[in-house]
Amino acid sequence: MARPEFKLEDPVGPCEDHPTLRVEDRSGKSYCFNCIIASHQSQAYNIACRILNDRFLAEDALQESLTSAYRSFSQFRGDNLRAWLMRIVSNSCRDMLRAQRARPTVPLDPVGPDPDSDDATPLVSNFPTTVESPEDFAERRELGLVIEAGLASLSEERRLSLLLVDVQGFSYEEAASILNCSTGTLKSRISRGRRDLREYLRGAGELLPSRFRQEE
Amino acid sequence: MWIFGKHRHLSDVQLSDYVSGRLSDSEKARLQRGLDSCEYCRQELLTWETTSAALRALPELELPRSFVMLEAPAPAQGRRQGAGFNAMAGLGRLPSLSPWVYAGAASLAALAGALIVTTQGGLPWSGTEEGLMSDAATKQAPVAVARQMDSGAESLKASQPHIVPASPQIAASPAGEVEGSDERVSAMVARSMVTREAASRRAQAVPQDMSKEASAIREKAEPEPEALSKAAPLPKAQMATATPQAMAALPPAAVPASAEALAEVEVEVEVQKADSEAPQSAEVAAAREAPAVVPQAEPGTIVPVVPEAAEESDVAARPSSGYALDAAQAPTVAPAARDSAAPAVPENPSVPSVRDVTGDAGTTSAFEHRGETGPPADGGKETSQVQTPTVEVQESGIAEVEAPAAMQRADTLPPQQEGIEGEDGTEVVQVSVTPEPMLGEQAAEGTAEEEKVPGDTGSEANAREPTPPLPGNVARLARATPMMTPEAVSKLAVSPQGEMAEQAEEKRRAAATGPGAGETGSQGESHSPQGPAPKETVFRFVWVVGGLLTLVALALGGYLVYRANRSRISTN
Repeated sequence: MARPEFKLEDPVGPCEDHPTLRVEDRSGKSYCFNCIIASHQSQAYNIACRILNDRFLAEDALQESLTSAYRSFSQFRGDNLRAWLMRIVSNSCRDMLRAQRARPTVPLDPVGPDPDSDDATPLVSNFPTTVESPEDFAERRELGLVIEAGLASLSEERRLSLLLVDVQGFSYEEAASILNCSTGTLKSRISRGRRDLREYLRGAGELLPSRFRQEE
Repeated sequence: MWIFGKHRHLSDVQLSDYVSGRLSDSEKARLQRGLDSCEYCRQELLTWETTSAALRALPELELPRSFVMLEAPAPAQGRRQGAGFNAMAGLGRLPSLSPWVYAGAASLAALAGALIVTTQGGLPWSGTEEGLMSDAATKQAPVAVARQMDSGAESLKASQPHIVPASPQIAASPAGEVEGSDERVSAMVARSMVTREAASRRAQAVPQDMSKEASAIREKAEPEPEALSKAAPLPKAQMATATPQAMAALPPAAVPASAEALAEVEVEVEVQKADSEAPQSAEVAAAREAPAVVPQAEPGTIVPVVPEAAEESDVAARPSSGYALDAAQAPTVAPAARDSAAPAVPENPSVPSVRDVTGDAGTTSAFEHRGETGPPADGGKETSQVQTPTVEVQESGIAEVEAPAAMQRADTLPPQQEGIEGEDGTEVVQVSVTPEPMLGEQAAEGTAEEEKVPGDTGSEANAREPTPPLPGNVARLARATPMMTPEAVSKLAVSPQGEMAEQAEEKRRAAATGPGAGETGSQGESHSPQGPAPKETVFRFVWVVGGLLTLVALALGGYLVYRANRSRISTN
């Protein structure tokens, strides 16, 4: 999956599709904050949505994270912008999770939009691609729901570690920087997370597509 | 994996790292040898790869909207954790400091306020006379003044047999209440607490042979009506103790009466000076050595004032007549007779000054009233027909009062009383001097006489039962103390010092048994006015400490509430 990559060395030029918000890091280097947002908002939203397991909360968390990043951009040291931004997003999501635990709420509307309903959010994954058959599309969507449920069953640290490394493709060092932990700790969290998720998938074996089922 | 010739399965960490591709070449080769030899490890690796592939196969969520900012967000208002106090800072423009700073400042402010309020009436532990006096005056002034009015009315009613025939203005209503304003004022301002010793000394100090000169001086120093009308109002003692309600109740006649009394005091001073310069006679020594009659008189008894013309040779009886009306008889006695009868008493060093003996100014005023009647109609004929005046001897040992206050009692007597003609055409002077309870400064001095209740000033008063407060008086007290119920006022109005009815009754009984016993009892039961009662002090101390603890608790509770709100805000 091709992700837009923001180049820190790129000079801040005229932005065509969004207003220019000039920010400076600690070293005095200038950036266009809207360009940074355009480069990382999809990944940040996916992380927030996987962590919170709620699209609306993910939007709020991402909006607040971007606002905080803009205000505190002068504290950025200029080494890894994506990790710095994802760390802000993950921290904001974890704060929201604590708030939910402190004051649990039950939404009046259904938790997630029904993909089959007409008013559901049209996602890319909701439509079959040109290369896959309808069966594969149905298996993929089914697998996605099971894996999301399995991720939701994991602990916060393990879930976040799996999301960063396996889902979003961050390296161990980057993920460790985002989670503010050591690489060994991250490796342990990832291995235990995979094991837990594997056990979960074993329990729901008949729901998995054939290629994901383990032969007895 | 083979270790010491025995195969051990690959761990989860090794399989996870192998799936992630984060193993070095040597480790990867070693794990590969184990996977090739162990079917279980291969199956485990497959499950790990399947799980990782499933995670990577998760579909990417599409953005519901763009998060690009159209404008720069507003700068932060401060730390999020201080949101509660930031809101307060927005309201009061206070700096965002630690909550303990605000809590401490509030506590200190409350403490300072409590101390200021407490020290307004004197600290309970300071024991300063000023604070205690102010406290005592605050507590006793309204009730004491009202009680004084009541007791004055009572004493006036008790003396009605002597005065009423000649003074229709001082008459009680059929309902029993003293009506009108003159009698109330006369009762209130008549605080003539005549000391027995001072009266006897004065009787000895005033030589009878100098009565003529004294009369001349007295006529010369006769106060003029204009001067009296411009004289000072009520004395300080009464002004200090009288409440606005009591002052409002005073009739306008009280003011000129006071002024007249002041003028008469001046006259008396001159008389005293003139008398002190008189030559001594042989009878003076006998008069000085003679025992005083007045101290033997029982309180409240009616002492007959022996006419000097009939008792010329009885020197021992002179103090009796001179106790109250020795000078008052001067206008009615022929000058020759007076000169021959009155012993010339030299000035005794032990005799107090005029100011000290001004407490018996009531007699002086009586003298003045008698003097105003002028000589008899027979043109200087010796008035052997003068009826024996009576003086109601009051309890001695009472602290002296200021002269104007004492003199007003007699000065407020209406003119009709002066020169009363008896059935046979003779003049009759009846003076009733009733000491009143001390108030104001005298009460603060804390003398033993302070414990005396008005009822123990005479036998007639003792014979009477403790008169309950009149309904009108109760209402007046209630008006003077609006925070008290009439029942509470009636209880407090039993005595001027706020004594309970039982205590006043005990003192009356002690006084009835004898003056000495009464004084002893009153001294024994009296609590020291130099400081508040221990119970009161403890109560005030507990009140202050409890208030401070309450303030501290409130500040701490406020801070805890703030912390709870702050945690809620931060979690949001």
